Amino acid sequence: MNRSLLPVLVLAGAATPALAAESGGGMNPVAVTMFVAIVLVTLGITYWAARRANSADQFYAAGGQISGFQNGIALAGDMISAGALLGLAGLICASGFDGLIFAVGYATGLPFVVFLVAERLRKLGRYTVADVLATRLSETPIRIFTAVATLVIVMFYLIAQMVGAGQLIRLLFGLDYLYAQVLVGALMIVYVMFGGMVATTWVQIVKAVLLLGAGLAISLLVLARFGFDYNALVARAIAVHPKHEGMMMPQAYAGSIWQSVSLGMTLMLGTAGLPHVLMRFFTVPDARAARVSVFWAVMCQSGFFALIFVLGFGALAIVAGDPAYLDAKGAIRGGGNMATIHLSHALGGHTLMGLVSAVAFATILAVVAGLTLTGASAVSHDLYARILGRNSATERSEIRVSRLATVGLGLLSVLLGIAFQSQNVAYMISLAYAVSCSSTLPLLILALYWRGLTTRGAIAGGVTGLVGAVLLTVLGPPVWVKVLGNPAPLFPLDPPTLVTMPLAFLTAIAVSVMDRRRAPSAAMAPALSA
Amino acid sequence: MSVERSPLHNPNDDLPQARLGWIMAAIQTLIYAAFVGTFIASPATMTTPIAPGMAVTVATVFGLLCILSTMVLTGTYVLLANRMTAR
Repeated sequence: MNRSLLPVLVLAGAATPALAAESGGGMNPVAVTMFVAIVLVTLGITYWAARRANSADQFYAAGGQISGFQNGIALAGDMISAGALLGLAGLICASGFDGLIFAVGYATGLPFVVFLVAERLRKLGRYTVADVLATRLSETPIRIFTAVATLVIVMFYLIAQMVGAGQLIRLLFGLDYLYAQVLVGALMIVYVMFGGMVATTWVQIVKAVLLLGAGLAISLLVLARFGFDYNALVARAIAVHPKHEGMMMPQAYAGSIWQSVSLGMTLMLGTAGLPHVLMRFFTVPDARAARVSVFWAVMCQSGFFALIFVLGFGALAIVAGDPAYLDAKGAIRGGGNMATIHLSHALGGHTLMGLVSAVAFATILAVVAGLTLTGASAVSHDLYARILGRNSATERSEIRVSRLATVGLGLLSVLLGIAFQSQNVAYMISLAYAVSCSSTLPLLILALYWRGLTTRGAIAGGVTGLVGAVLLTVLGPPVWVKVLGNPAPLFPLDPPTLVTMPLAFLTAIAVSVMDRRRAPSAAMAPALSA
Repeated sequence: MSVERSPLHNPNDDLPQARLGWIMAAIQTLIYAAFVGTFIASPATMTTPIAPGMAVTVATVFGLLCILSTMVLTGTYVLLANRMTAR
């Protein structure tokens, strides 16, 4: 049970649709009003952005016109998914300190992006991560590989978000799962297809501001209820949790050392290889703005994760201790993801609960839009414009392909969201992070910092990491045990990063060294042509 | 190595803040590794209250400091790097 905590952020709990009317459901007028307002505002943004999103530069990178501050807020929005707002508090209610392990781990990821990646990325690239790698390496193979890795990460992430979104919207607004899928799918297609990166960024900014405001308001109300005495809050949380003091020891770090290290590594390093996060750095004018944007993103993101220390314990102390929010078995009504929603109801009645529900909905929309845009860019820019249609593609045809790809990815994710409705998709986020740590991140770090990297080495290392991460996740606890129902995993670690990331680095380095020994000029040629 | 002398190779390697970036990344890793490592090596330390009779544990404060360190380190890096590149 304790192995697969990473995926909790998926939001895909065993959610039951039966939510009593007095604390949720579709009849909350504030929730519905806010929900409609968010849809209208975001569509308005898209309409405004659509007039600008007619060049490739606008579509993929908002013309490089987003300021560092704006991009920072949007980046924080990309990082804080609905899983962070709802999933972490639910996890704290269920297993105590574990939720905070994730808050700390995710918070440490973004600084890495500014220290090592952001500025170089902005200097070398235009629209996608593959642009950066292609400045150093032979273009066709590296673009194909990077596009595949991007699509793998984006699709797993997207399916997990869609399934979580369907269940959440059903709980929050009483909307049928199928309609929820179609609604989220349709809105995200509209944002991305017509508004490109401009609309996606502004939707993300609106959501981030709402999310930070909601998190701050709930946290202050929680503290106010305990007379602004944090110790009293924690004491109450300990008293409420069935394990009492025992809940302050995270189960995530109670198993084997290797398991703890592998999880810790993944939480910290996964961020720096996520393509939808990296793509944000192409929206700002220069490397300095890229640096400034991560500064603001870190302030917002870390601030939010620090609030989880109040909000999470608050949910435990207030919601998990109140029979009104519990079902017959003493579990949180509607599942762990409802903990934050119940908390807002306990603190501010229907009004606050409606606001927070709508913010959760905005969060889902913004995250799926960012993912779809990233996937569509991999198809239209890397695969179509630079490879398949290298000789015939024009800017117009490239944008047309990216819009088609947006519709294709949107439809695919709705279909997969429906197909996986009753499946355990918790492993998918874990898998996306493991693939990010084991394929895109090693290639990016080596390409940016090691002159010896050759194309063959990069592909060998990337493929090893990608295949290794997928294979070992299937053979490990998240799929082999939790999905396929086998009693014991064939591979013990979840996520497998501790094995697959070093393997990817070593393979890339070893093959590059052998490659250069055989043909010393091979390493130089692409650099000269860049 | 002849490759390294190629002036066309990778102009980014000359960014003055490159070394600073690695130093900051190392400090961040150390802080986070200390947080995870103490949980692995000595869970009892992490679950001890910060003062007798208190509910807040060492890990709670350590975790918050870890999060605070991301803000301080990033802020320091951005200030220094902006100064370095403003020549």
